Amino acid sequence: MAEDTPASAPDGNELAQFRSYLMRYALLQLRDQTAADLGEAALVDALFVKNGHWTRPPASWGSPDQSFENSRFWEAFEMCSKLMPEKTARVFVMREVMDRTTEEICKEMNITATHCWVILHRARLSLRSCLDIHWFGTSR
Amino acid sequence: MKIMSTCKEVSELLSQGQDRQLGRVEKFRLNLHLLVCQGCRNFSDQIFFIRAAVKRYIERG
Repeated sequence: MAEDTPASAPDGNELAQFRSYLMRYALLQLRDQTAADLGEAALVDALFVKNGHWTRPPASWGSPDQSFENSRFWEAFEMCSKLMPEKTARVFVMREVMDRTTEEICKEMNITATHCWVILHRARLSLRSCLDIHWFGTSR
Repeated sequence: MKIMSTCKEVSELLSQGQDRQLGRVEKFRLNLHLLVCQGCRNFSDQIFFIRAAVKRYIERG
């Protein structure tokens, strides 16, 4: 395989790249950190009504795997990843990119397991809502 | 303990299912809810998709 051809399996370098990508945006967001944190809590509030039902139940995305072939999907995906507050992005990357266990993340971030699950859940809710609006278009 | 979980609780459990082994009672409550809730079934599919998308994103380089 030629050296400039991206390998199909992720190597340490690629993981580091994705991480630094998220970190860079996370850092840019720092000055708006309070706003981002507030936005995150507000998102969760907005997604559910008082009795715990979805404000708007998630609609099907059909065969979403087809989007993998579309470069514009990846633009939306990148844009949506940037919306996470810094700490959320950090925990999400540790879990989903670096494949760390909750225990390892708790130790490194000095948070409880419950807090860790809350953060990961918020990350997924935010990414899901953003992709829903900006790519799958079921929220329009 | 109420038998039926809310969508909010179920979405939390579905998410935690990606990060830890759920207990038997939790799984039971989850499946009972999913049986009757299309919205939460869609949410479940979508968080699996998100995990797959992150893996793909890294592979793309």
